[in-house]
Amino acid sequence: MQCKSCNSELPKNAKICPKCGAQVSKPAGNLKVISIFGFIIMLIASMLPFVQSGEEVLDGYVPKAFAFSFMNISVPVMWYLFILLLVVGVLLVVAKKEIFSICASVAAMIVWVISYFGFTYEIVVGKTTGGGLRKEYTTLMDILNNGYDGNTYHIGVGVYVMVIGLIVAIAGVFIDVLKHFKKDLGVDSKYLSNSLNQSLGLKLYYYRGFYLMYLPVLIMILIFNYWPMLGCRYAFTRYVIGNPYYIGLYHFQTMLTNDTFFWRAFRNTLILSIVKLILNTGFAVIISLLLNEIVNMPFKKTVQTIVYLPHFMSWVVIFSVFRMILSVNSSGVINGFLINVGLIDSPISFLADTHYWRGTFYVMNLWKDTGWGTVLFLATLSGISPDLYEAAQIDGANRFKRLIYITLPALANTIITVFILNLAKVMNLFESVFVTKSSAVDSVASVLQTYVYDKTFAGGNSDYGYTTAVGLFKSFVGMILVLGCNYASKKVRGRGIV
Amino acid sequence: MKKTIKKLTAVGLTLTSVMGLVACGASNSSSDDSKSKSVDWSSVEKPGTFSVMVDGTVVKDTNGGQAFYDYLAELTGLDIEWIRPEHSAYYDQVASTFASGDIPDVVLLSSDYLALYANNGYLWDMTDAWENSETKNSGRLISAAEKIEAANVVLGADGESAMYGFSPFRGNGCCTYIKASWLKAAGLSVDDVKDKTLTYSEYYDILKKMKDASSSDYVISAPGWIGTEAPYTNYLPEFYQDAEYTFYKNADGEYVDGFSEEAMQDALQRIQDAVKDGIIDSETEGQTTSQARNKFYSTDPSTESGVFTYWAGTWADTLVTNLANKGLDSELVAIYPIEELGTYTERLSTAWCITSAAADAGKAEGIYKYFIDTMLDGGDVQMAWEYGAKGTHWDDKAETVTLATAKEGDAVKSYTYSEGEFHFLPSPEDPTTLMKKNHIDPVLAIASFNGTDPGAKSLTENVTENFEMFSSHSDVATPLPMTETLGNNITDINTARNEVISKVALGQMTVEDGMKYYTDTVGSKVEAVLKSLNSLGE
Repeated sequence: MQCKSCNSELPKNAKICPKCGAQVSKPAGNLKVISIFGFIIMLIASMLPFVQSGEEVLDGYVPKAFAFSFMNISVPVMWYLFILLLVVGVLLVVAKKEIFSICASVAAMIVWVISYFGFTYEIVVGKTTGGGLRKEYTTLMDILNNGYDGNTYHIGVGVYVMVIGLIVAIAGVFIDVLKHFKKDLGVDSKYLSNSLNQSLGLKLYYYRGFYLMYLPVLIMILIFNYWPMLGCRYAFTRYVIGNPYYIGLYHFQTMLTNDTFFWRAFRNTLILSIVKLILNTGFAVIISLLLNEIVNMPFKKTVQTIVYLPHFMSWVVIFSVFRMILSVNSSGVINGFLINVGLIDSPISFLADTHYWRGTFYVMNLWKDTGWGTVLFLATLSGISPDLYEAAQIDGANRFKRLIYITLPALANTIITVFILNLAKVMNLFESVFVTKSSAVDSVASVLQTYVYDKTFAGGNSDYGYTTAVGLFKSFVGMILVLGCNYASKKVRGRGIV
Repeated sequence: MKKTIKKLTAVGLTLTSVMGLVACGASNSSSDDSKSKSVDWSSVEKPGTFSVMVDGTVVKDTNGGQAFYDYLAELTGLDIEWIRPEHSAYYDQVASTFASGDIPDVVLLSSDYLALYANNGYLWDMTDAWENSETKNSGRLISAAEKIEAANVVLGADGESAMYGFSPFRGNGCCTYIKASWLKAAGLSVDDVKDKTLTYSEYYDILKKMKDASSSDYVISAPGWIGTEAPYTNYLPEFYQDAEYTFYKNADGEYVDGFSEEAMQDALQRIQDAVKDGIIDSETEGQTTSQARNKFYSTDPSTESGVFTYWAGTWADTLVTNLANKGLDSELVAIYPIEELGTYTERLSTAWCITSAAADAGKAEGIYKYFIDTMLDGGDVQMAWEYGAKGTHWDDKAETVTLATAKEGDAVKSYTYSEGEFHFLPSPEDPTTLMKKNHIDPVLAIASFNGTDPGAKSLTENVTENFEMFSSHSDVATPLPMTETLGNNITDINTARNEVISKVALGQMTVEDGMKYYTDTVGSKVEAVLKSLNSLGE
């Protein structure tokens, strides 16, 4: 470390510069991320119920006065003030004034306590002409003591989360978790233009040109990817056109305890995606190996082009083609063939029978995407040194042995990479199912994305609140899969995918 | 220090705006002034500029829309800002518009959306306006007009029923067409079915004879086992007969679930038997309207259908024309509803609605009087809404109208008209065909012209005859009131219903198993909806 006043090298742990006598300031330390995490928990807690109804969550009913939090406080300014204090707290942590951030977190807690005991909360009791809501007001103490509409109330999960958030925000100030991830290189950071120890501000300034070029992309991502995320709050609301109102965790409770259609869609999503992934990857490997064995180049290129082509067709076209081929009428080629060879007596409804739909769906997927999936594998195969094959041939290895002992081991890393990358996307199944499913096969075909679509657009009343809750749950499972894949990728490849 | 302050300010502003946005929507607005008040209608003045959101049923911009807007402005003196979303995405756009709060003054809505938005308090109660309107008191209304407008009487946000929309035309419906050539091939004649009320067993015998005489896999092609809007059963009416797909008010005045009733179980059994007997196309599952229609026009004897239930009126002509274009025998017989069915069901019509935004701005009465109430004035404005703009879509001057040819070498079609003779002009969008109509189908308008319809001659005898048959043998569908519980659960309930219908029809489930599955899956939801519907009057 160097003296800021005379730039001379300072001895380790020196408090005064031996050359100029200047006071050596204590190194600022790392960002206290755990404290920031505590503030985020407090923000989330402000959306969770402070008080919740004890009524049973019944299938099909719309609850009234189900939960109370900052989201239905009669004076929303209190929530804004609470959020402002959290922002101040985060800023103080960023500015390395951690002790003051404790004051901010305590102040936020005081605002929350005042809001809890001192303000009224809204209960929506109906609608008014002009698109408004008819409301009544109550205090949390009143509703806890006397109940409402025959229901009893208890302290909600938001209270517990809030307390946990406060503890984490305060305790996090004293825990420097980042130091375990940083290496002390023993060199002054100003000589390290791109090191991890270089300050963020310096790095931003040093590479300002690049960051300037990146700015439009950042703005676009913020607007189109992050801005819509703010809509997540609808998951805690009963959606009424233009006036969604707070109902706490009701949607999540309904979804997880009562909704058979949700669980059916969830199960189907996992089954269809994972089987499809295994089959597609497996067949792509097999086709790649077969293509790799072809020595006649024009023939190889022709075959490659033919197997790639279906990838560029839309699902609507593919479904139409399969619908014709698999028709149950006399025009159906497959059924006609099976009947003629005596394998079946009457035509099979491949696309409208729950016993056959999944199989047909996998076949359609294989036909469409196997060819395209071979691109990566073929690229890897072309990178294998011919010397290895020559050496093996000299050693007397036949084609099969060369495949087992040279080709497959060389391909293994790519197979795992492709598999892991695709595993992270399994929750996003939509178009292929949406186009090919029908009412008759809904029990085996409906997936989370089509379920959300149907709930949003098929009925007269778009229940955005509920579908947002389903979407959040899907994202949560997707996140677990991505993190799991990232972990698996680190283990297998030595580096993550995110 | 300065830099630190700058940095903190920047981060602070960003965080505050983001977190503040999370808090958005916490406050709700409410107002209570869009009720129709007692108004002196004679002194109501023109509303000034107002916005109108409408689907593709009004001539589109690409089809001379601007000429229509100008012509209407010239006739009515109204200053209208037209909002024209893409027809196929119309209701998505309507939903976004209402959710965003940027609500138009006038909007065209289907019956489902009318009930939804009225129930949420977004529509203006036009009961008083209708009662005092010139249209209602003109003496030109058709006999079914009251019944058609009654479908627009729905529950408002205050829980009271009121008229929230105006339908200038009937909803139309489907009737069953039989190919005369198929009847003849089965040893029957047109007289065996025409102008007769058959029983189901007689009808089914005819279908079986037709099946035996044809080399096709089926006799009837239909776009799905069940429709997606009321009347749901209109594509296979002879099989559903009196069965109700959804909730309805029974004779005792109580709401019941039609799907769980015995009539529906019998209907499902009939459909299953008909599929098994090769009467109904077993590919009906997931079949679109155009696919079903194409089977009716098919020139391949193995995929051709001989019976098709489709829209009455102008479609009677279109079906004949398309069959003739394919070189098939184009003689069709539109049969009366069978005895067990009683009447065909007429679809609920779309309705013009005035929003609470217009009411808040004090324009609602003016918009009703000068825009909605003039649509059926029996004169020039009604002409504009039925036939389009004079000089662009139609004319009555002496001239020769020549259609463009689709390709070089095609025969040129020209029509010569004398002075004062109404005639359509080539469609601006497709000059190879003549215009057919504007927003209001002339045969479906609920009010006649003062005197005779100037454009009546443009309708063929087949169309008018067919529609007369349909009108005298049909009844308007009954709208279902929208409750919050119904809106929340109807998607799941309909999913289960459609699943049962499909599986039973395809023979993958017995009727009993289907009903058990239905009750097990959505029984509690059905119960909740019925409770909400039956508590409406309390």
